[in-house]
Amino acid sequence: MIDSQWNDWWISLGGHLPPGLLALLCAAAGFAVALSAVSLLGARRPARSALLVALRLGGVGACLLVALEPALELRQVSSLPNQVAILVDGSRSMQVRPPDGGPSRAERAAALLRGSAPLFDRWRQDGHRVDVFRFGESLAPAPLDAAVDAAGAADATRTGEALGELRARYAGRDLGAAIVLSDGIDNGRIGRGPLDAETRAVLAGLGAPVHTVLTGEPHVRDLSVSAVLADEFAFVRTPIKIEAIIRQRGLAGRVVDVTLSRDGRTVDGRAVELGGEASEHRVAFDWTPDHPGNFVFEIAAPVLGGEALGENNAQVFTLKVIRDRVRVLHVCGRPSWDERFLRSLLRRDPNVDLVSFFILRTQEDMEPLDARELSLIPFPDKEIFHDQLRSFDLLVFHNFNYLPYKVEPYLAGVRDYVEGGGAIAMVGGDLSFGSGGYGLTPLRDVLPVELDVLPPGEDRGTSTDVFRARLTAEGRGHPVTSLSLDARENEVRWTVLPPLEGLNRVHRAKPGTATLLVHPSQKDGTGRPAPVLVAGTAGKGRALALLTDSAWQWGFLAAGAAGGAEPGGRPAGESGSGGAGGAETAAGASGAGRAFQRFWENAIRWLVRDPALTLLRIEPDRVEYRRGQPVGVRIRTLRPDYTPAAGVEVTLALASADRPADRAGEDRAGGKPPRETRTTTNQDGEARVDLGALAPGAWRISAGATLESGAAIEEQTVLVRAEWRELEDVASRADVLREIANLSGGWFRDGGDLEGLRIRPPRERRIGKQKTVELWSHPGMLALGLALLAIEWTLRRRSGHA
Amino acid sequence: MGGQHNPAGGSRRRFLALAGLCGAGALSWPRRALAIGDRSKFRIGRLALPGLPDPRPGALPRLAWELERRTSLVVPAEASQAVVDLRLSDPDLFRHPFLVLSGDRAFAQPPDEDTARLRRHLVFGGFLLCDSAEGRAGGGFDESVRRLLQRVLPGDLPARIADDHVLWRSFYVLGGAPGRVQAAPYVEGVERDRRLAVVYSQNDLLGAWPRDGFGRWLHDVVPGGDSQRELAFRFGVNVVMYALCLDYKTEQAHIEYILKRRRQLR
Repeated sequence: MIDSQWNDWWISLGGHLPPGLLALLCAAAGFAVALSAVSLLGARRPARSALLVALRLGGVGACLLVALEPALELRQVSSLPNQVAILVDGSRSMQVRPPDGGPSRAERAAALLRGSAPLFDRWRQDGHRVDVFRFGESLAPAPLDAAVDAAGAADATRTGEALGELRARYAGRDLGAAIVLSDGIDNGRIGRGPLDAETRAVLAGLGAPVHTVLTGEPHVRDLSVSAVLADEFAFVRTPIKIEAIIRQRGLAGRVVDVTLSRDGRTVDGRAVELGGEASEHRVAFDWTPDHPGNFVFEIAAPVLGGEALGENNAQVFTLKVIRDRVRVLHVCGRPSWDERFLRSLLRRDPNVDLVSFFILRTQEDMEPLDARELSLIPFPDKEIFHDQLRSFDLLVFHNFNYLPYKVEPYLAGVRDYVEGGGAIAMVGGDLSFGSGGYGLTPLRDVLPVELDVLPPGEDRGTSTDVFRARLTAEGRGHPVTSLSLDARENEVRWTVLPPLEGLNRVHRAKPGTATLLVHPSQKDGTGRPAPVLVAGTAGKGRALALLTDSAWQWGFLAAGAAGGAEPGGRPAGESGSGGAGGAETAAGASGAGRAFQRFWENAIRWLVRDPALTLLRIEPDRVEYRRGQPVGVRIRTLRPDYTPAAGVEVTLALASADRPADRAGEDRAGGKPPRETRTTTNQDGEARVDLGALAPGAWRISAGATLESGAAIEEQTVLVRAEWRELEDVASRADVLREIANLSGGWFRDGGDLEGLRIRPPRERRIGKQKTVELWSHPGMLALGLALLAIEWTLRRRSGHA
Repeated sequence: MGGQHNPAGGSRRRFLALAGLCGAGALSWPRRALAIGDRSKFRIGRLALPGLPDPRPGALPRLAWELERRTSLVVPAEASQAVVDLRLSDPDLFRHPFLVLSGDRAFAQPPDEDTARLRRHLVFGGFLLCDSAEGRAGGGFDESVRRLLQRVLPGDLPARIADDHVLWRSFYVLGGAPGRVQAAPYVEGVERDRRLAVVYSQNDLLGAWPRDGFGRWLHDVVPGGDSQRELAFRFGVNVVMYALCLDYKTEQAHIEYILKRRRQLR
């Protein structure tokens, strides 16, 4: 009766009647039959009673069928395919290999997917579409071959979030099943489980089973530096604690050396004995920064045989060390007023931590019978020039001769200290520069003047005339000789200062240095005015040469020359000079007596690279970036008077700071970063450079420019950090996957294949044709019903029933 | 740390040799070359006030000589250049941060203008050593000095210098400061800006120092004789070293060494 073109049918009954009427008809029919049956209860002839009831039933039923108009509904129906979503873990932990060195988790997952290709074909034939996604930090469609590609592995696994994205993608669509292939490591909201409320809601909302397949190992062997606990910045000479959490699995009983390295050099180490099948150890390092800067640190543990992953055995981090006080070593070959007034202002300056060593007597001086009657102590050459050298921000060699004090062996170290970022100021005198024999020592490499090679104490290295130092063109714009921000007033101040007496003669100022003050008449070895004050750089450090020992007169003598008593009976300088404080150093704050103090304050700030004095500034958006986050840098250029310098071309160079080789351009999202780029500052003396996203690691950004004050270089370090929690414990976690499967009605499998996984049939269907065939709607059916009722009525009358 | 070059041995012989030189009374020392420029050498400015003659001529050149011999200081080769007589109104007053005022009698107070110059000198970094040659405490000079200091540094009265002050160990480790006499068992000072700007002794410190033209001591030292004289020299050296180095010896690096020696001495 049903043609093969129809693949769906059903019988409709009373579909045309309102539900109330339909119910009333059915109730009436039932009542009629029941009434007949009740009336025949207790009748003497049961057979006749049964016949009467049967006739009533048949008659009422026939009439009811006619009223309900039964019909056969025939349809030609086709199903719409639903989706099967396969979610493959594409995170870095999937690169873990078993202890025997077999295929990694990702490789095993890839093999599983490849082997399931026939199954996927069957699913398609059964009306399912197979969609493949790769998930890590987020969910993204991926071709089957690329889903487990090691390249570009994600830094995190956020399974719960990925399922949430899946629900959003399939909202209003028919999802037959989801299949998750993962090692169970999650650093999102699920973590180590149990599932959070949001993930539970997501699973309920999917409306489809989520099957989970674990790609892990029963045993894994791994050692990792799972976390580093350190402040973002520290103060020079203030001890800090750097802690690392070392996690191990399957390496019980091993002793490993955990090292702390700074800029590639090991600075500390700890032996750690690993205990238990899986354990966590906290390793603490104490470190005292000895100079400011941005440092790149690494805490590393060795990669042991059979380890699941080697790249989680080290962590890189940056630490910015800032200076709270400038630590100055003042070494003086002989007490003098120049030393005395410099010491006076240094010890009063709250920003200076002063350590002094003065030679108060020499081998030639008379010694008392009992040396204990002297308060003097031997010159601590090794302590200050070797052990403590790098703790100083600035060395001041104040008319100090190295020769009698066994200092010569340390001078190479002093040179290295300066070239490595330290600072030195040499102040003149008969024991300084060429007369001090420094022309024969490694210090000549860092001093900003070329010294004649003279034996120590040689008078030819000095002259004794009285002269007024002349400010040079370079000196007019240099921060060291800035007694006033107003250029004209600055020049005036220099011209009215008391004259100097005595000069250390040098061959010349080195090329590339800044000669700030010169002798008005004497010439150097090249015929140019003899330098009096020269500032220069040496490697990463700075050096200053003040070629006289009479600069103290810029303060004391000038204060006396100002004359007169201060109003109110107190010296003007006492009444709140601030800064260095005190009447003496602030002498003549309103006059020339302040020049000595101002000069040395400037010199110290310049020597130690006080950031406030930097005319080229480079400011990254932040110190640490996440992988993929674009690195932006703001550049500022300033004139010597600290107003913006517009239109300055700045060259920006990028180099890796934690690896020997430059890694610029490696593994970067969104194109290659520039190794070197140029920009020009705008009217506000600012420029912004976007370096794009950089590969994880520490990066040193150097800016170079030629400013009015000369060439300037500035450096900053930034860290691009990969999400590290992904690898802190690489043991696979079945519990999370099992819970996901159970809650969603799916199945959990520990490896194996995908055969037999339940996929919900498609819900959506399309109706092609349909036909209605009416049943029993023939007039004879009504006649039959009425006839049966008539017979029943007749028999009932004859048998005496009402 | 820091301070001296300390070769081993030979100290007694050298001391005796130097003592011999002292006996010869030689006040010229063509020794080190020294310093560039005359202003770099250490000079003593002797304040010459009207009506106050120098009671101890020759004392300060002798101190300068001792400084040259005992310390690394460089002083002018000629005694006449090592000590400069200065009036308060002298234009060169501020070329000499170290001043000495010595007297044996009361003196007239300088005019206000001179007083202001002295105040400016002391406040801006200068140093004044006052020494009474009266041989007793509380004489006319003492009264005049106190009045002068009251005018120069009003509100900052001389006070006894504490036993633990760095002045007692700025070069030698000392427990007191006798001069030609021991008129007062203490030394006073005036502090300005965390440093002593004035040191005042009533023990005729300068009286213990000078010799005559034949090398003999000009004045007897009582009651301690030569050992007391040596202490007077040592105190003079300490005062100069303190003026030049301030509290250098209080830096942490020095304290342990110095305290240890001090304990041994006692």
